[in-house]
Amino acid sequence: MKEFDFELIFKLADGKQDSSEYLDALFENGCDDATISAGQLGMISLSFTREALNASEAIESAISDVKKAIPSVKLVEASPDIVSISDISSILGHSRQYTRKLFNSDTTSLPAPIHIGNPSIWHLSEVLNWLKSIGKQESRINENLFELSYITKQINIKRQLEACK
Amino acid sequence: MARQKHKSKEIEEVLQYAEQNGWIVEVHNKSKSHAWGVMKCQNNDTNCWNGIYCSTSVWSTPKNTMNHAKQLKRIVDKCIYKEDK
Repeated sequence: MKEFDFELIFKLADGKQDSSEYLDALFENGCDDATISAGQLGMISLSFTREALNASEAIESAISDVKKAIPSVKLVEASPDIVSISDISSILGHSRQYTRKLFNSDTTSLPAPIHIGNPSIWHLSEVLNWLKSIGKQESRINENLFELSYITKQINIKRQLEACK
Repeated sequence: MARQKHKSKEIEEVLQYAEQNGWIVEVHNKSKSHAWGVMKCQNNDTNCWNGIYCSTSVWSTPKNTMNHAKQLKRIVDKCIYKEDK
């Protein structure tokens, strides 16, 4: 078994604004390995540390546990996936200056951001693969994170495509 | 009056750390609930992670105490009002 740290954010679709009444249902449906935040009315965030055979199983089972507890929820975002330079720095555990230097060191092979702005954002899995390909930071990157960020990217893209329908 | 302490040492330590950083810990009185209480950031600012973490539940008996404590600490640490940022 491997351990995966990830987060799922949902919107409560049934118009009920206070999610605190769902806490026991979430706990009893298997989300006792998550920390639940609901500071924003109508939204709920679950920070999981889940043991599973692989990242896909960890995330899919977590989404299914949440939907069992609150059938009307809609997934907003799975993380870690969409990241800025600042997020990447805290994930890899070094300074923003150093990440900027890394990003500037090989701009031709650097993956294109999904949004160019202040800050620009990338898919984490693309950045991790790039760092691996240029031989940087490999030892700092947990193998589970490669797997996890690949799955969260797929889930987020799928969610965005569904929103186009 | 001092608040009731969490019976897990690891979680109690993080709650005190949260309090030192301006969070308020409220203990629920409902004995039947799995949620022991809640930690709230007084700034409750939508500019900080959309305000979603400003109210975070604390389990009474999480599946893994150490992991729950770690997750709670991570939430305190990413608050934009945390002083050493």
